[in-house]
Amino acid sequence: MKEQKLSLPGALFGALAGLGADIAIRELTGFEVVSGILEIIGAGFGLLRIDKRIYDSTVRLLKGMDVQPDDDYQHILRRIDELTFDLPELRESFLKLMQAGVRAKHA
Amino acid sequence: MLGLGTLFRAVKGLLARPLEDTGLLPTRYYVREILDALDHDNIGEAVRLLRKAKGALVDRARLDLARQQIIFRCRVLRERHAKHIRYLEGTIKAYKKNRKLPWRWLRKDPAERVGYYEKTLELEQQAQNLLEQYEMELKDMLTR
Repeated sequence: MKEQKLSLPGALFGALAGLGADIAIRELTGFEVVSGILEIIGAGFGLLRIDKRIYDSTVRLLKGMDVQPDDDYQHILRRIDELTFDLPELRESFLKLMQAGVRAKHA
Repeated sequence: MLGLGTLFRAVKGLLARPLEDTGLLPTRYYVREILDALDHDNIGEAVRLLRKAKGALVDRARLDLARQQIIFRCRVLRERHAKHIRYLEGTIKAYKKNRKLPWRWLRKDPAERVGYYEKTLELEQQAQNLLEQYEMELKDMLTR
């Protein structure tokens, strides 16, 4: 079997050519190739569970609200409305969580 | 035994931390770090990371949700501080009112306690103002 030799100048030339190509593509087309590749790598490495992480954080935020044990459902809903009047996506997530909690309680 | 988690943390500490400020890392990385900071009520760090994240198209919605979560936590904490401020203001006011009563003239002055209350009040107000500033900044990020 033919022995393979690693060339340092060759590696450096390859790196420089890659950098040059990236800059040229970015300047000519506006596409950010390196960022795109990093995005894919990031998605691959354990960051796939980001939605679960967001869900956990949403639950923690809801639990972190200053709610009294005797506060009723409507009162908590009003508080959520007040605090999320301009945060539509988060409000929706909270409402879904609340509804799921109520359903689980009735089941 | 060293697990993958430890390895991941070591790589993150060595590579990701220095690269954080460049904004080159994937948006998901920033979202995860923002949520970690938020878990510890470290609003300043969460806002700093949000500023760095570019918000690639695939994760823009997630980044915006993280932004909304920070705003929400700011509001909850501000309310908590407001409650403390009301209590402290009431206590200081009651003390100043009681001090004027003739039968309290001879009583030893608990000035130290009032000083403590006033200092705490000042800190609570500073915290509230800081949270308000963060909230305003985060609201402005919506239009970028």
